[in-house]
Amino acid sequence: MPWPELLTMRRDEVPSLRRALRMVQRSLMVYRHSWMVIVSGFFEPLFYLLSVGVGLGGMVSDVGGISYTAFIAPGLLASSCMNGAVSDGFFNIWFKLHYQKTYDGILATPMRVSDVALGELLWALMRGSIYATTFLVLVAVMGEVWGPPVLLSPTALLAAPAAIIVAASFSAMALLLTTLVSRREQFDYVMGLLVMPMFLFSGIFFPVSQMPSALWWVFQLVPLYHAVELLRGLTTGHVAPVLLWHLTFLLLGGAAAFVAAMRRLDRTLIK
Amino acid sequence: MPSASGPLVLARALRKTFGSFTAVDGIDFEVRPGEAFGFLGPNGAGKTSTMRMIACASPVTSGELRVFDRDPRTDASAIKARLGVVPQADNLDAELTVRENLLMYARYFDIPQRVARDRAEELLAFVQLAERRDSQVETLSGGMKRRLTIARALVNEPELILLDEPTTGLDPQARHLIWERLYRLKRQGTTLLLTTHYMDEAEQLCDRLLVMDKGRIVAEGSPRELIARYVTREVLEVRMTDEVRAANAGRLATLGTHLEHLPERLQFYADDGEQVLEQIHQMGLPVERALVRRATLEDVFLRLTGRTLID
Repeated sequence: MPWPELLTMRRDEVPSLRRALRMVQRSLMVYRHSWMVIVSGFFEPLFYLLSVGVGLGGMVSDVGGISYTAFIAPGLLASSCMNGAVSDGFFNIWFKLHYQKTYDGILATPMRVSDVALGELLWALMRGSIYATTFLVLVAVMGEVWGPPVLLSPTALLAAPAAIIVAASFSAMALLLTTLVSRREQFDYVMGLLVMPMFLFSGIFFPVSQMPSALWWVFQLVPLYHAVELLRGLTTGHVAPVLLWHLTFLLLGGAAAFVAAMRRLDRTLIK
Repeated sequence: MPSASGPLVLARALRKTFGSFTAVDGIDFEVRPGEAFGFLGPNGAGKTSTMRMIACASPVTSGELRVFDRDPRTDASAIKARLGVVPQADNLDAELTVRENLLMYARYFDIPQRVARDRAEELLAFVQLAERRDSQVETLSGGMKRRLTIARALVNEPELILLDEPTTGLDPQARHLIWERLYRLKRQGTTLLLTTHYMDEAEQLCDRLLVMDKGRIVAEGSPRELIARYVTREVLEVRMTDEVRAANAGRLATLGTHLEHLPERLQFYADDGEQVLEQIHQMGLPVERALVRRATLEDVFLRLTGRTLID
């Protein structure tokens, strides 16, 4: 597909917010039956923080002048945005697309592919924002009660909207990835060769400056690295112009991924 | 706006190709308001591709297609708002209950929630699923899923319902219940457009039929017209050994109006099947089994394509 076509939307492709919200309504109806799935999403970053941050953190000295717990908390927030997007995109959307044919049914109504895509993105975003805010509130309380503090600056307030942008961006990228996977086994490649390495090497657990400097360019292409740096800058108060570069990467990357995902979905569903 | 008597669907030289494969090879037809219109043909004849184009689920390759006098390429949402679609494979929302499937579907059509609730109840009663309203879709039998899919297609009170093989794979009881419900819709004036490879279904439900084969239309007419035009009133099926068939091929060919050689039997088309059977007996040929029956659309299909529908 030529690039200009990827980056522009035809007028009839522009999704309708009203119709997209029908998809959100559908998700709310679905999760009325299985709300525990939603609740369980809170625990993942929290367990990581307790085990790695508090447990391991006690044995590790400060990182660049801040406690280890305060260092990894924003990274875990970023990774939970990614994991939420991946599990929703991969396991839910892929099954609806290829296995349950849910979207084929929905597209027999006035709904269009772009409405469905935006709707699924909005839902992922809503879910992500609830997780992000709850996580931030929890770590703020934990820091006050048990110490060491995790949110070190008033700019941490901006981490909530930033985490929503991170969640949206990852949801769009996960949606694109989902449309590229045609067989179930391919999930394992993506999880093992893409998601897991990103989780381990994006500067969540140690500063990327520990890595050979030749890899700097590689990191600039890793979405999770940008998310971690953006959120960490805000929660620790290390606000610098480079945060704008991280933000721009996530916004543009997410937007491009969304348009491409919409096109791929259209080809899969309307043929 | 389409005029009241204008066709609901109009196709001219309609084609659909997938790569080098031609699924629909330039067909012309019209579906008029109030009629039950059927596409008849074996798998791969192009029926489903045609239905999907009408449902705006598949882009037209070339030719003209108008649905409600609108263009599916540019007016898909407006067309889909007035259609009811029962696809070949059920695509119910597996994450919702029976009733929620109807409620949610109504919302996709922007039907207000209150109206949707009433309509869901009516439709559940109509397809006899009221008792299963809170069941998960997965726990339904094949026939129940089909009925729910039909109920779902009625949620927007469509002017035209597309049914792609509505009863394939169902047991006889389930089929008859669905036929009965479709009859009722037809009586209420809803236009039905269905595909089938069951001859009895086509004869039961359709006012007008298009027989399709390899992407083309091979015949068109009412079931009765097609039988009158392409076959005789009766068909005599005769089973005899291969040796007897081979030795008497010339003599047998003179009997009836037309003779069809099938692997396991001979089919004589004649207005009086008993008379032909009598002639065979007079020739002194040993007959293993014989049956005289009314001609059906299956025979029409056999005459038109030289093949049986079993594929």
